[in-house]
Amino acid sequence: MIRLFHVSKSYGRGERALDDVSFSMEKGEFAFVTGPSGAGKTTLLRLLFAAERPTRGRVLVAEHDVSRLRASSVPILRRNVGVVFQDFKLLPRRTVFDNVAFALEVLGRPRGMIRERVMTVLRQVGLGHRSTALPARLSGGEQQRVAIARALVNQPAVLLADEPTGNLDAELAVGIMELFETVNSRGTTVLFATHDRNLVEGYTKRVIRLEQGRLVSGA
Amino acid sequence: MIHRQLGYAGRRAIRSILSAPVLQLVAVSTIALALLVFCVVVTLAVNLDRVAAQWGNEVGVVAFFEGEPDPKTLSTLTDTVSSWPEVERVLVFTQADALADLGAALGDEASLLDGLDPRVVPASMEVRMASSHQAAGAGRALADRLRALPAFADASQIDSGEDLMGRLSEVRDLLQLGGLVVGILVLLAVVFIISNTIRLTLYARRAELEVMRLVGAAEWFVRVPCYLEGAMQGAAGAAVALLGTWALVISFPQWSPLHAQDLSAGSLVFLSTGSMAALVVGSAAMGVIASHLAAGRFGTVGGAGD
Repeated sequence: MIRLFHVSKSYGRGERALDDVSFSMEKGEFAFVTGPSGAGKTTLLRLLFAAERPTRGRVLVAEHDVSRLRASSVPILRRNVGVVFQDFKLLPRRTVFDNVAFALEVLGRPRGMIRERVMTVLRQVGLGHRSTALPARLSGGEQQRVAIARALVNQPAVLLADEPTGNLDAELAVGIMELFETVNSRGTTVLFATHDRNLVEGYTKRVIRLEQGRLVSGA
Repeated sequence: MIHRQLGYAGRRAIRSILSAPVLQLVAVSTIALALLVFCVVVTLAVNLDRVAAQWGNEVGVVAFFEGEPDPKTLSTLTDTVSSWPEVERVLVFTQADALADLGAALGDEASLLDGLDPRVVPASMEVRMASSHQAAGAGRALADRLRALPAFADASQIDSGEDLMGRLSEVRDLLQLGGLVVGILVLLAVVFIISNTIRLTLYARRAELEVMRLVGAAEWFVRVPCYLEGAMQGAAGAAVALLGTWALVISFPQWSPLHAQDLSAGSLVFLSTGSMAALVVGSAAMGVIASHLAAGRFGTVGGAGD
């Protein structure tokens, strides 16, 4: 489902965010990406949803070669890859329902189908009763659940999460983590980036460790 | 699916316009002001063309007599000139007729002419050309033909009207050049205004655009609302400019000094339906181009995420 072959990513003045990284993930697998700040976790995830292109090497995601992907094909890749961020990226003036429905509206899905799918996914993340609330009225954990619902509503094959528990306390983080496990148990490949060692150590999952842009374990 | 996406994009464009009414009002007003200047110049050029054509038809050639010609000579002369194929009509004005005309032109001040000897104003013959013979230089040729007659041997006695037409033509050429320059400036101004308004709109909605790209919205879907917004701004600006020009045109007789004269320029004609449609469509097209430039600068699909 995800394959990286000798991937490097450099920014100006030759600073290497990623250096010769190779690993693969099978369909339905769950893996943590860990490492200290600046290790290259976010860069790795950005390569996987084509927000960046690798300087060297090949990146394959859901049968798309990101390294050679044309700009017009990027949206097609992103419909197969859900992304969750630490800062949620919710639209503050839209309700919970509208935030999730937005991901289907922009793809031109029929209204009836949108309503049904959004309510289903909101119930899955435990927010069926908060569909009319605005994000500002929700707790951090609930906001992150909305962001996860939005990432899942299009039924992606891969779910990427960049520090999704970074803004949450330990108890809420566990709740979010359980949600990711549930999603994974339904067959979605999950790559979960975090620098929280306690969270990672609490689960028996594969751990891909990055340090200074290099893969040090978990290949 | 496409029609639902287009419908959604249209609703987003309208929502975007309604969400920043002051910004939209300022943009449309500025575009309208720029286009108003252009419309006024074009309207003036069109009307000057019309006046030139009308005067060319009406004035013809005027020949002045030395003193009052005797009726027999006048009759012979009128018959001769009337028989020329390029002549449609010959009108003769005696000195008394000319004085009466002058009095009529002075209106309330006609009493100034009381007691004036009619001989101070010349008798004249006005020769109107047949429309089939009206062409550049035709007036001068007719004047030369009249000048060959013994009654009009003195060249200064004949006014072919070509000097006036020549000056009118120069003014018209100048207006057309001015219209071209103003048109180019207005075009640049419209593109600049709409482009910047759309950039402000895009900046205000950057979070929404980021999410759209993140969830796999096609680039055209992200851009179409901007294009619609730009087109609506351009078309609305053009419509307001046309309304303004129309108001100036219909109020022209009230404030124009030409209205006091008995001239055909006392009223103006408005732009043709085709010209108005071209202005609205052209301005909307400029809006789309400006939006495309703004959206291009704002980034594409590769830029989603942070």
